Amino acid sequence: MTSWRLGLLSGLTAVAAILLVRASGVSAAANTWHALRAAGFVSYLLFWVSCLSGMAFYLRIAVPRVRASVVFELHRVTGVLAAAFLASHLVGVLVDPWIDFRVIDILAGATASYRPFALFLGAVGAWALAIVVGTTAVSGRFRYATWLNLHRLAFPGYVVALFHGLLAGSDSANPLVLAMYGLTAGAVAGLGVLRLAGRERPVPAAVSLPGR
Amino acid sequence: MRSRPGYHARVPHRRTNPFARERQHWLTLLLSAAAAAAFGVGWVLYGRESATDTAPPLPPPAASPTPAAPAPTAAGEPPAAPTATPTRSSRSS
Repeated sequence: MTSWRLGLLSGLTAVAAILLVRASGVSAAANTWHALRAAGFVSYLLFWVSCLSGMAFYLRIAVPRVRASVVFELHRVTGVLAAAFLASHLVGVLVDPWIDFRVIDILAGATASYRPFALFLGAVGAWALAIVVGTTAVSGRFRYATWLNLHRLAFPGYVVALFHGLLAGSDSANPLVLAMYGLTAGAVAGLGVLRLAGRERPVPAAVSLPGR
Repeated sequence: MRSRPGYHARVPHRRTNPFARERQHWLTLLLSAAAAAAFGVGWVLYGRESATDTAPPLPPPAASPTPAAPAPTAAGEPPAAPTATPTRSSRSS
């Protein structure tokens, strides 16, 4: 799958960039911090686009002059890229010289010395995204219902990622950043209301999924 | 093996989304490039933001000796430690 290869390539490239900066010298500490912040923001925004496009695809929301296949591909590619940049964000956190994070701090979050609750939320969000992307990669081995239930972990994963950004992010007091969080959360909440409010998923006239 | 007659009738069906068979390579490349560009731009912007910080610069690494290190006072008290406020003012909680 092209998206998997490009996601892997993007992730490895971002991780390599962070490691090179870390090894570079005098300004490595600050640059590592800037890189992992940038990777975190990009990962969050990609995760948001993936959630939004996934819900729009599921609800069959018609976007003018945009085919459903494009919406689906957008959902899939942004999901993979979000995982790739999340990986680079985690590597940046691990190699950041300011606060000595251990691997267990990345995996669990609550054991970290720096904002443990916020990092715990981040760890939960990361695990949720990893499960969603990982199970989709091997979705053929699951029953559809099992895969779908695991895929729905993306919703709580997005919410905890949002709160991780708000609590752990050092520029959460910035009005632009707050506005970004508000708009993105509002968009997801709006589609979530459509999703949960019993909206009837329109039955497609021509396309019928096999096996249903 | 797949070309043998009746193969698909015998193999258990795997649910696949028909849209998964379509590939929008241009979209994949565009999104990847946009994400990488956003990452690079964000990195540069954060770097410029820290360059305008009024906080003092990073403390020197431990290996390099501090020039003009203050001597202990006559009462034997250690000299005041140099301020080691991080450059990243955004780190302050």
